[in-house]
Amino acid sequence: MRRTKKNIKQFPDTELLIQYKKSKNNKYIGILFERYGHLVYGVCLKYLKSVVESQDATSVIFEKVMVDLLRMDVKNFKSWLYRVSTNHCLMQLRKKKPEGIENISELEYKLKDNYNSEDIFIKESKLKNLEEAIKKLKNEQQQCIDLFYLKEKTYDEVANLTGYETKKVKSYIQNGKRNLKLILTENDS
Amino acid sequence: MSRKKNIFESSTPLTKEEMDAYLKGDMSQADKYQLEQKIAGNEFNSDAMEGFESTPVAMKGFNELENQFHGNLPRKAASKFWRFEFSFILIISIAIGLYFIGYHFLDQIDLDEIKFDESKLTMQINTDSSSTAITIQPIEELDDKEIEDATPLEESKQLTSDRIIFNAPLIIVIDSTFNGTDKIDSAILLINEEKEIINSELDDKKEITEVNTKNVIRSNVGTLFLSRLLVVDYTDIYTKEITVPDFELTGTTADKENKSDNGANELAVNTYTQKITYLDFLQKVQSKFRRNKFKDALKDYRTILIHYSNDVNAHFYMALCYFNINKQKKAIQHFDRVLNHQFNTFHEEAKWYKAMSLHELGKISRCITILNEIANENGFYAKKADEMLNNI
Repeated sequence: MRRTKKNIKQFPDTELLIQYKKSKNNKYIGILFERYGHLVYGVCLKYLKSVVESQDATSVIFEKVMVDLLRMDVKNFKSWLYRVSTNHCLMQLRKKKPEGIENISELEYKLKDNYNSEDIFIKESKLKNLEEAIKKLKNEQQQCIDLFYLKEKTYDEVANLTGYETKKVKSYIQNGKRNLKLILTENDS
Repeated sequence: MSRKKNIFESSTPLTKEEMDAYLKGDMSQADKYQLEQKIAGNEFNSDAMEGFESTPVAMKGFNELENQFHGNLPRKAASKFWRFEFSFILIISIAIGLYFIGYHFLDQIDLDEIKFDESKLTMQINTDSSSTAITIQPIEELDDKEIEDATPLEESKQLTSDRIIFNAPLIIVIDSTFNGTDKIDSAILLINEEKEIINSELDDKKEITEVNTKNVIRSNVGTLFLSRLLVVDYTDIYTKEITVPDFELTGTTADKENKSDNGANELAVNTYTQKITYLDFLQKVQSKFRRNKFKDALKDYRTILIHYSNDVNAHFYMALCYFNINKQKKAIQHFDRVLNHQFNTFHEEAKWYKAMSLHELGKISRCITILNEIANENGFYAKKADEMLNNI
C-alpha cells in the first residue's frame, strides 16, 4: 500500500517534457493537457469564436504537441504552447477569410512582435523608471494601469471608476503593459 | 515598489477550477482581485479567459473535449517511421513484446494519472473454491502529506456526516425479521423520525430525504450502526486484529533527568504498535467521520485497507472523505469499488455520490449518464437525480 511512484502531477513542465521524450509515454501529455488544455481551448475560443472549431483545434494542437515535443528542444513549454496555439488559430482564420480578418491582424501583430509577457525580462534597475514610463502611456492606459496595479482595483471597479467598458479596461491594461515593456527595454537593445 | 513590480510579475497558469469559479462570480472581492492579477500577468491566461467569457457554454464544451481527449489518448506515442514504414514489423514486435513484458509493462504505467476509471479492469475474482474473497489491485492512495495539503471543498458542498445520514435510504437485511410489511413500515417511521430529531438539534437545518416503502434497500449482508453511520457487519468475517501505530507522551527522558539543560523540559515520545479488533478500530474511525474529521478518518481507512483490502465500509467512507477534500478522482475509484462489490449495501448511495463526484470534477456527460440510470432505476435517489438533471 505504500506509495512507490512519485506523483507525476506534481512534476514541473520541464520534468514532464524530459520524461515524455525519454519514455514517449503519453501519460505525460495527459498531465500537460490537464494543466493547459483549458487555456489552449480558451485561446481558440477567443479567436475562432466557435465551440466545435475550438474543440477540434485544441485536439489538433495537442496532437501536434505530441509529435513536436519528441523532436524539439522546448525550454519554456507554456510560452511555446501559447505560440503554437495562436499560430494554429491564425492559420485557421486565414483559411476562412474574410470573417476572421479582425482577429488575423491581432494575431499577426502578436506573432510578429514575438510578444509574450515572460519573454521580456525587466531589469530591477529599470523599475525605478517605471513612473516616468507610465506617464508616457496614453491617458486611458495610464488610468487603468494605475488603478489595477497600484490601487489594486478589480476590472469591474476600474470600469466603474473610469466609465470604460470592462472589456476595454482589460485591453488598456494589456496594451499598457506591452507598451511599458517596450519603453523600459528601448535603451537595452 | 512592490506593487509596481506586480506589473511585470509572470503568473502561473490559471487552473480550470479557478476559471470556473471566476466565471460563476463565486468569490470574494479579494480573491477576485488576486485572480485578475493572475489573468493580467500572462497573455495565455488573459486570452483564454476572454475566450471563455465570450462563450457561455464554453466550460461544458471543454469538459466534453477533456473526456474525448483522455479517452482517445494512446499510451505510447508512435513515430512516423514506425507507423508508416515498418507497421508490419511493429505488429509482430508488439505481439512478441507483450508476451515478454506482460504485467511488468502494465505496472509501469500509472493509469490513474490519465484515465481514472480503471478499477473495473483490475478486478479479478479468485476462483479458489475454499474462499469467496476477491483479489483486487490496490488503489494508489494519497500519502499523509498529500492528504494534509489537500484543499477541502467548501463546507456547503461537502458530504458531511449529517448530510449522509439525512440522505440515507433505509437499508434492511434480507431474511431478517424486517421481512414483514408492518415491521418495515415501523422502521421507515423510525428512520424518518430519527432524521428529524437529529436535524432539530442542529443550528443549521439540513435537507432531509424521506424514506418510503418503495425505496427500501435490501442488503445482502448484515449491517450495524457505528456513530449513527451504517456499516456492514464484518464481525464474524474479519477476525484478524489490526495493528496500528500508537503514540504516548511520557515524562522527562531518563538521560535528561536531574540535568539543568533545556532538554529537561522535553517530553519523551514513546511509539509502539497496538493491536485492536476490526470493529473497535472502525468504531474509532466512524467517530472521526461523524465529527467530520475527514483527513484523519481517511488515514485510518487506509490502515483498514492494508489489512482488509476489500472492506466495503472503508471504500465507501473513504470515497466520501476524498470527495470532501476534493480529490474526486480518488473518490470515484473508491465508489467504483463499492459499486463492484459483492455486498450491495452501499450500491445506491455510491452511485448517487459518484454522480456528484463526477459533477464536481466537471465530467458532466458521464454524470448525466449515471443520473439517467439512477432516475430510470426508480430507487431511493431517483427523484433527486431527476431534479439534478433538470438543473444541469
